[in-house]
Amino acid sequence: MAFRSDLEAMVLGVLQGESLHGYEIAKRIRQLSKDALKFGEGQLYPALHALEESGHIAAEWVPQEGKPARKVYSITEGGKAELEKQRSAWEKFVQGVASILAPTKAVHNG
Amino acid sequence: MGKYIDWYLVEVERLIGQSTTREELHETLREVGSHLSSAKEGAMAQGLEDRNAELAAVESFGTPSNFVKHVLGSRDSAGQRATTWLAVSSGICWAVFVPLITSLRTPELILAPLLLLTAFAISSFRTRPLKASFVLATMFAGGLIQLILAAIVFVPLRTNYGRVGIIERSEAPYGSEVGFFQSAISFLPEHAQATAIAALVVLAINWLFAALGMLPSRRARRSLVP
Repeated sequence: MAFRSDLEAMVLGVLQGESLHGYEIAKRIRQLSKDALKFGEGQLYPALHALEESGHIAAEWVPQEGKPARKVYSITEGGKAELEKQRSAWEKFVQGVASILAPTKAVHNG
Repeated sequence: MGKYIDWYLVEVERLIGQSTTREELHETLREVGSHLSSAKEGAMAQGLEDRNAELAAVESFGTPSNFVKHVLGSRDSAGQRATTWLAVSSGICWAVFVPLITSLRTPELILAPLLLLTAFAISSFRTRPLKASFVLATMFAGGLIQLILAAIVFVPLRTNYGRVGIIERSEAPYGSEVGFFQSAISFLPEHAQATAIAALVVLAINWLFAALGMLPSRRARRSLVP
């Protein structure tokens, strides 16, 4: 199966529209999936670091007044291409599963 | 930051220990601290009071040991891939080139420095993350050692024979350069002796640098959590 059902695809998905910091990414995944995708937020960071290392996302520390600085992540051109690949793999996966799980009409012989 | 977040960061720092560089540890703690502060703010915005908001933030992040396991696990997989790749190529080198070049009657010690870099890289990758700057530093250090060893090996060869490169085995200056090891392993067949000498040199320097790489620096021992 080409689709990687891991956090990296989800992260690319939520970053496609805007740049976000780690906490917001976790929150957005929870919200968009309507709480269907729950995970320890700490698990997000290895995925973020892997994406950063592969060049799919870029990160920048943004200072805040009176608060700790935040590392803000944004998707790169390479990340957008990867997301497109993941999306098409996901569509194929869904179609494949749907065609198996779809209710079949009873076949009558004679 | 409150006391639960501070406790969390201290735990993460303790569990990660010397498994990462000081810079990466600092970056990780900074990022976790920032995440937990944001999560605490989020929980407070939903009506939780300070202490409970902090506990909720810490709880949603997962236990420190789980977090560290994930962080180190993702690094290990990259490190292990590189280590495996290097180990395999190094193994092929040992298995193929040492006997081959020995049979061409080249003093095998000349080969040892060339193999050193690979072996050195294997030991270095074991406990370090794959950072370009670190790899470059490793290569530089490896190159330096190669030069020193090459000088040690080449200079006597040049003095004795006026040239380096392929020379007759009967002319090889084992007696003066590796006499001690040679006599200790003289019971082995000729090719095995050559391999053993080269292996000994590589192993010794490999261990030295593996040990040096794992030694915590004075700066790294200081806690990064205020």
